[in-house]
Amino acid sequence: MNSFCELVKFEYRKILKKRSTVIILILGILLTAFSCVGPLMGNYYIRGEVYESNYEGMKKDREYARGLSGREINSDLLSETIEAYSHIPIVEGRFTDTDEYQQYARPYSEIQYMIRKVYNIDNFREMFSISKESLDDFYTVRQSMVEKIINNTAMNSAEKANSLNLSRKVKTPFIYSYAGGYTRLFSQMYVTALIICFICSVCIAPLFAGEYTDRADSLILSSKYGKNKIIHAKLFTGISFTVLLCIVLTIVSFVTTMIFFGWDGSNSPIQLFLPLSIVPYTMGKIALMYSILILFASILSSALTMLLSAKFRSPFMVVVIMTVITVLPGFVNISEDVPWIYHLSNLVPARMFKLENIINIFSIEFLGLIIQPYVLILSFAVLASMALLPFAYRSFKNHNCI
Amino acid sequence: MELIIDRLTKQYENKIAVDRISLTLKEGVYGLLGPNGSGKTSLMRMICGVLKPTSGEVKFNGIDVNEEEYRDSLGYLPQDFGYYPEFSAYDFLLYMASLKGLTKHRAKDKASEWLELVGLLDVAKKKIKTFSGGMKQRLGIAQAMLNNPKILILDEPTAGLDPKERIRFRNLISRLGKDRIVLLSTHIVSDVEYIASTILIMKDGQIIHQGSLDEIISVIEGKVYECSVDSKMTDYLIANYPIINIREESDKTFLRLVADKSPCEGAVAVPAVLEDLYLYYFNEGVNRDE
Repeated sequence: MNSFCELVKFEYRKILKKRSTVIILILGILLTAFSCVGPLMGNYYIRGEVYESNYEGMKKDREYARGLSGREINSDLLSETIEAYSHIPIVEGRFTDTDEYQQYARPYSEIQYMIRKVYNIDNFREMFSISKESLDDFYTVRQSMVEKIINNTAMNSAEKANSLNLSRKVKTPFIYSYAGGYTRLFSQMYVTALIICFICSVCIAPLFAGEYTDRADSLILSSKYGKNKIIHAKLFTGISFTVLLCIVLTIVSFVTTMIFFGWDGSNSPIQLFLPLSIVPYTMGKIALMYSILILFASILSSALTMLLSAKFRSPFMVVVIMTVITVLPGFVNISEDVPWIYHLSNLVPARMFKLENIINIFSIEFLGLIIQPYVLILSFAVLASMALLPFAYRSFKNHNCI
Repeated sequence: MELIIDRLTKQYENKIAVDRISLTLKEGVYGLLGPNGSGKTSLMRMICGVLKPTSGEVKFNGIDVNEEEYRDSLGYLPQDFGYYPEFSAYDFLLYMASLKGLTKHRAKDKASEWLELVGLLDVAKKKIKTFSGGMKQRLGIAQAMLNNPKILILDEPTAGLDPKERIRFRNLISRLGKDRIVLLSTHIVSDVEYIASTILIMKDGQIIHQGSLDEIISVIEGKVYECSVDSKMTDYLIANYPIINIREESDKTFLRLVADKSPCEGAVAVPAVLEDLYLYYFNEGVNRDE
């Protein structure tokens, strides 16, 4: 155990002694923190003139939202919202530029978003035709909309039944709360995950391939622990580095976001952010779940990096391949019409990072079990990582020094 | 103490690098002599377990090359190997010591001891990237010796060293061969001549000769001649005998060659040296000294 720790220590030294590693780690932390507050940069313009800075705008929205916090989302609040929006005159261009919007409607903008989602309307003016009875039945309408979406998918009947069952567990009525910190965090974590993946691929790629290019492979492989303990130490270093980086950047994202946007909302239902979501969890729980999934998806990405590192002779090649694997799937749109292709595509690390792929309306029947996407993704990440590591181990152990 | 190499073969796609070599090595310094491409490095890599043989096996005292116990007895200085440029010499040795299973305390002692023995103690804390080729080679031998190996494999350890460092290195290796098996490959004949108790000559993947210096040289003893001849005779001798050395003189040409009997009038038989044998076998003898 002592020698194992010693070897791990040296592997960390090899990573951290490189100036490029230190630079990329500092840049990664700065970029993460900066991207968290990115939407606060710049100004909001009305008719070519600065109306307010984005930071001031966020503070104003937060104050408005906090003013409504604690209120039950019911027909009274919905009617108030519709009434507030009815002041907005018909104008060319953005309705948000009008004084009426700023004066009356803006405090209700999040409620308005929820109404549009639940009643499936594109333009806020369609809200005015919603009947009082329909507003009274807000949660019934919402559930009907959720069930309609579920029934319109290509899931089999057992999967649909499971999704419907889960959706009925969502507690109503919703109590409105400001949760701008959490909603910003949900958007930010995808970027944070990509940064984690990129840094890991750059820092971990030389773990094995670097020994080939440094021509230190023959020294290592001919030593006592060269074909066992050192490989374990390298794999442990790769995984632990990923875990540590993930924890650090997640904390940076969380703390930065909460400091700027506010800490409130952890006990609010996720439906305040995703009105038609079927998962009965709070924002705080989803944030924790999302972070755990990103952690395991990053570990999978690192396991793949280490396998490629053991196979290829150049760390640069490994970084190029991992960058393609990380970035490319983000640009590919996979149809939900064939569920198994869709679910399979969501098992690529980069797609695991997307919240909409982790919590969506799908249930998945697999080997007689019916599970949610986040369970499938987490299980796959753990199993695939465990499956890849022995290949990386064997690949380095059997490496021929030519 | 016995290192047994049994019908060891390495075949790359269409080339046999090592061809069914069988050897038994005991304590002492073995000099493996052969030109580039003769298979020396492939043979050494297989003995060190870093190259998988196509067939055959290597065992030390009955322990297979793939076992940890075998590697525990091994010290290896590869021909062209890398260091971690950002590491200091001392850190590098500590790392190698941990790879070799030394405890932290012992690793520190051994690292200091060997840095002193190879004359690098005063630069122990300097980064390896600032070292000269000779210093790196000395560090290489230090890392190979950290675990006091029973088998020491040195692949062209004197390549790239200046004459002074080469002699220093030779003396060091000579001392190391007392209670272990040292296998040293080189194409610098004089290195082997001075320190090897047994010489192995390798050509086209096979050991074509092995024995002590005298035994090896006896193959051409009495067959090495030197003469100074005119240009017509020079052409005749070059065409008919293996030439070891040619040197142009003012009106004649000096030749050193191998022949069963006196090749020409005035030729003088001279004592053979290992270099004669080497050049004779590897046909690299035509050295025209201007």
